[in-house]
Amino acid sequence: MKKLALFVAMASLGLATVIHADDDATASGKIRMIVGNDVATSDEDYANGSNWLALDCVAKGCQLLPAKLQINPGQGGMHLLHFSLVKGDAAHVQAWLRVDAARPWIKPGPLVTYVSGETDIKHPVGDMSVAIPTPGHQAMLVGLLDRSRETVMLQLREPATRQMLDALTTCASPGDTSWLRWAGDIDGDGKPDYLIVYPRSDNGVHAVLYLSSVTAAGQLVGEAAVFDSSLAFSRCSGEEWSLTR
Amino acid sequence: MFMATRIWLLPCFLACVFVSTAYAADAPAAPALPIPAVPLFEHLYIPDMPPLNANAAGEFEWLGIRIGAGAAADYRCTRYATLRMHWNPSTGKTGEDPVLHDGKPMEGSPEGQVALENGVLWLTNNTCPGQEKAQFHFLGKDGRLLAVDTDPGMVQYPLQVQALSATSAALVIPDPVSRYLRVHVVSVRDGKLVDEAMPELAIPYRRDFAATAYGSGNLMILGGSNSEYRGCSPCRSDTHILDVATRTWKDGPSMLESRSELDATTLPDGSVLVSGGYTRLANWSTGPSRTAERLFPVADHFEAIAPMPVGNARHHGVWMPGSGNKILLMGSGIGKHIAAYDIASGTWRVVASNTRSNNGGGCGFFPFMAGGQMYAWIRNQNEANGKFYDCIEQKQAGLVMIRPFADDVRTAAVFDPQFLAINRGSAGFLPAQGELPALAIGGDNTAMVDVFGTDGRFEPAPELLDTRNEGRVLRMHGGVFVFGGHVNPDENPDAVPMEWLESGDLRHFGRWRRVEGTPPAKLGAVAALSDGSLIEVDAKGDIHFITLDTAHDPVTLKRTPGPTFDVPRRPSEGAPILIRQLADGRIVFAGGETNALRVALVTDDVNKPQARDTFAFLGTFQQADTYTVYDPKTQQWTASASALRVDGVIRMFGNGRVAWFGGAPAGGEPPAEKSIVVSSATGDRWIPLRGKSLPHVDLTGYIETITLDDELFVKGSLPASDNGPGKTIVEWFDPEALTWTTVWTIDDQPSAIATYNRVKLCHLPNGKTVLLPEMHS
Repeated sequence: MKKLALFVAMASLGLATVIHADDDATASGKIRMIVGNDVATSDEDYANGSNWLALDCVAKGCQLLPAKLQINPGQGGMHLLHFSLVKGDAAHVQAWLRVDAARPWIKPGPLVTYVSGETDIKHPVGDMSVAIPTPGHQAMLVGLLDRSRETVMLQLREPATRQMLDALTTCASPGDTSWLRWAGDIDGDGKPDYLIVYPRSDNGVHAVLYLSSVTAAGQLVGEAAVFDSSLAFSRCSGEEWSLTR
Repeated sequence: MFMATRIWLLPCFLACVFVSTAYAADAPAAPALPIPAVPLFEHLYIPDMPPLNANAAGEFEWLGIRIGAGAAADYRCTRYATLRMHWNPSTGKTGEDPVLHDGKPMEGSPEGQVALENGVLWLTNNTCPGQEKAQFHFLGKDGRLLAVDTDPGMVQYPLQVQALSATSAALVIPDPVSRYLRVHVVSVRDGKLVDEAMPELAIPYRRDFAATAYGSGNLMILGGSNSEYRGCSPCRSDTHILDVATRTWKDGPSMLESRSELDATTLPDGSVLVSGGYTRLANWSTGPSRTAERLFPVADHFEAIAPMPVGNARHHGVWMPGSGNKILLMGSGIGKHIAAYDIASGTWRVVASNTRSNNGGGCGFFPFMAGGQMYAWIRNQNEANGKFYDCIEQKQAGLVMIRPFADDVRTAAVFDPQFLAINRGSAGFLPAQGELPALAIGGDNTAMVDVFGTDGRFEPAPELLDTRNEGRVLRMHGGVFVFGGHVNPDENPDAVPMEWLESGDLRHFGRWRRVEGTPPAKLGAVAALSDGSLIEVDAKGDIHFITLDTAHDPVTLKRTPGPTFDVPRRPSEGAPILIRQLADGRIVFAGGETNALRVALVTDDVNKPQARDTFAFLGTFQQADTYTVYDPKTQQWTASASALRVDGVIRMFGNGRVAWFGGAPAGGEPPAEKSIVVSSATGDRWIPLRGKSLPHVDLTGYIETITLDDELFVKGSLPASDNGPGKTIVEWFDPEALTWTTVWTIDDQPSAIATYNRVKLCHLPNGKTVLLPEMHS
């Protein structure tokens, strides 16, 4: 397990904080994905270059934009991964994906997008659900409160199949669906794919790119890329989840 | 021009034959009587207290004055013509005749008039320098006029003259210095008028004692105090009896309570009825007492009797016309109501309310018969100098119906619209619905119930079992259900027992029956359903159906669980819930607070594709900006679109539509001018009213809104203009045309008419007739 850390700009202090993380952005060995920027890592599997694409979403849609990585020296044997767009600013970048010859559909250009952070979200099943207006699939993501385990789970539903994904945890705010960064079709198979950024602590995330093309039996999607970062895993209080009925 | 001098009345000094009163059960409403207005002051000065009875012709009579010819340089030398004045309220006929003395018109301003068996006694006081003289006068029914000089020092206002026997009366005043009581007894004796000064009662008094006849022509002084403050701080329970024959004072039996500003009335059997005033328990701060007691001469001690329905002080009794001196009407005073006392049964009943809100009916109370129905004019005090109230000039008078003493006696009348009023505050109001009349329930610490028909018919209904203010009223189980409210504001609102009136159509009143069970909470929302039950949303947001088991007494209130809101909703102080059942059976719930934040739960079968979700709700309740509709047939809920605003007032109208007045856009500041949105018929959108769709009232000022029989009204003031402040109007909303029509200009009441909490009969452009109460918001 390689170590990766994330520098998060602390706006209030004007400082960068090193966040140690159990990270394996390529744990599945399929796609290398980084969420955030100025990531500190001890991983040697990175090199300066322009073989990266940014998943960038604005009001008119999402697209993969050419990006480049610059590796800067860091502290404690780490080095910093700094990403930038070849053209334009990175304010709307959801994730950075490394170009992979085995997956030629990771290429610059517009992405088929069903839902992004810029979309008017519909909540068909409670306020932590998101309807995915997918032609022919009627998919939805549903946050489910697991009272016995005191956590919140995320479930993907299509009419004939339900698949429990991962834990949103009580770090996700009730009613908030910003964990869904993107839903569309990146692998070109006509079925929805998802980028979910699960909150884990005040600043930590567990980000997963789910693809419909990497499924196991009985699944709607499989994990194609996973990215983790955290800072000592400070626990979320869960106070917002006090129940009224 | 009349001087603002006191003119005491002459209670039927001619033959006092009362019009007999015949009430018939289920009597049809008397037609609208053209009862003439009170004569204008310039035409006839109607006297102040004490009240007077009508003579056989239904006329009130008294001695009055007109200023004689020639203005006097010194006002004390103004010459007054003494006149016999009369007024028949049922016909409006008035008249005045000179009082002749030796064939010449008599002069002098009559004071302290009192009726004796064979005539009237009064006092004149000439203060013209060089002509000072105080005289008693007696005008016999035979036309004979007697006079006798008296001590001018006895003329201290207000005069207190008390009839003692068929031929005698006493003038009682506290000495200005010693405050000892001075008494002159004036009597008709051997064809002469005799004035005798009696020994002083050597106890200091203010003007808060009562005096009445006692025994064989004797005088009794009751209660009072020597305190410079009103109330009972302290006051006395002592009584003192002046034996006129022996000219001696002796102590009488003590009253059961100390009292000041009480009333003492000698009844035909010689007993003395004492009522009200201020006592140690009912003091200035709490209001006058309800308690009453009665002295029976044989027993020579006071006995407690049933208390008055409401407290009063400075009040006076007058015999109910037609009762044969068996029912006493206690009116005026500082209390708001006219309470009747039935001597035979020893019971009280409120039979009318003053037409001013408070302490305003102390200028005269004139009961009379017209068209077989008993009414009364109540002369009200006028606001003077923006601060004080006085009885000068009869600027405002109100017409009221005198209710029958018993519940099983029916009476009804179609009132002239200008007099249609509840005349009470804090009454519960049940709007008319279709052919069903409106009801005013309780209010002003009474148990009174009034019925207002959409034909203008006014009818008293059986009294509540308990007094109740601000009660809530609903049609239920074929009758009328009353709950909540209070007797005193500080009391627990749930402590007033629930009641149910058996009949709803009110053409055949049933009886009020006690209802046991847990009443709907003050905060809760309740509405009537078409099956005669109620639906309730309690303070927690739980829905219940409420039914009554009326098979036995007491009636029992029962609850069964109702549906559960799909999104939790509950009432709050600032956001009450409104409920309305639609014609198709669906039920609309608007307002309140909701907790719309819900999340589905992990359940055992959550991974099964068709598993139904269950939800939990999180966070805090916030004011609802939607309404929701429950369909009992499908058991499904349908939410309206969001109005995207907070605060303000909501009203439900037009078969379930909702209007939202004022408030602020969510997250914004309220605009200076209240905005109004109304929901579409399906609730899928909110329609902002703009331009010609806005009411004419000034939306930057205070407005009230009300819905009656599914119709929406707004009350407010028209914008001010160069001519002054705008008039107050009520407008009706046409939900089809999105326009407002003025249906009531509030100040259209003639200035000489006083009513309180009027009820306006409105014929709406859509063909409906509604009864609009003035009081509600």
